[in-house]
Amino acid sequence: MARRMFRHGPDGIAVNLHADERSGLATVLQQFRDLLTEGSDASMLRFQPPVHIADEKASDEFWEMAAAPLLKHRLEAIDVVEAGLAAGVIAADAVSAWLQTLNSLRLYLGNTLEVGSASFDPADLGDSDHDTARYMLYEWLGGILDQLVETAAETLPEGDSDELS
Amino acid sequence: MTELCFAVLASASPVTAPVKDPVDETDRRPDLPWKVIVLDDPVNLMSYVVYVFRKLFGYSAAKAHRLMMQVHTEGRAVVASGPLEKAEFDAYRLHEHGLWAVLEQD
Repeated sequence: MARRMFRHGPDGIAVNLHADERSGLATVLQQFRDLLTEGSDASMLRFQPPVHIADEKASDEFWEMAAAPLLKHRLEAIDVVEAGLAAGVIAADAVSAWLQTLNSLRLYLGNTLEVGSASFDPADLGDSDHDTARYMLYEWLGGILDQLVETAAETLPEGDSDELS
Repeated sequence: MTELCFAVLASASPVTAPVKDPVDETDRRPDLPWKVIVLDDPVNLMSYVVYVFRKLFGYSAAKAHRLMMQVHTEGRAVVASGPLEKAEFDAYRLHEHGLWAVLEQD
């Protein structure tokens, strides 16, 4: 039976990660913070894709307004995850920051690895290839994220809307 | 987990983010609503997408699951609609969560 990494407790969601996982995730978070602030990696383009797909100018205007607050939000979310890692618990108001940050890390890795391309095959990565390590991290983050989603969804109010928002 | 290498982000090689081909140019009509469309992404977990739809829009689990499956199988789904300002706010919230949202006018 798979280890349950998250469980509801009196102070929020308890984080049941091994010490090497916690320190490893902290390392990745710091690297991701650097990537976000440097902003020079082409894979970060996934975080600001076209929004008005029929109107490049409108898309540019959207991101001129949205890029700075979104970057600020992502950096603050990393801070929240780091604090939760250190405390071993995710407070109720920190759940979104965790979900968004874990998902952002996967998005970045998935895009650098091009997991969506037809030619992508994990078997081709090789045993010692640097991409293998990245793919393992990508998969590991997927496992964590999936478990956290499952745990967080337990307390999500059951929506009653079947109409479009 | 012991084999995991966490020092891998710093030297990741850049690739070009996927970009959709533009559709036909259309003039904006202020009287028409805007559709908020989520595009398929091979990275986002299905469970995560369902969670985001439930959380952001208050959809039932069944409705959120249907929309997620539509994104997955058809490549896109309209998840909300309304005036431009609301549609852009919804798109912002979806991007905040890592989903790829685009806007189209009816």
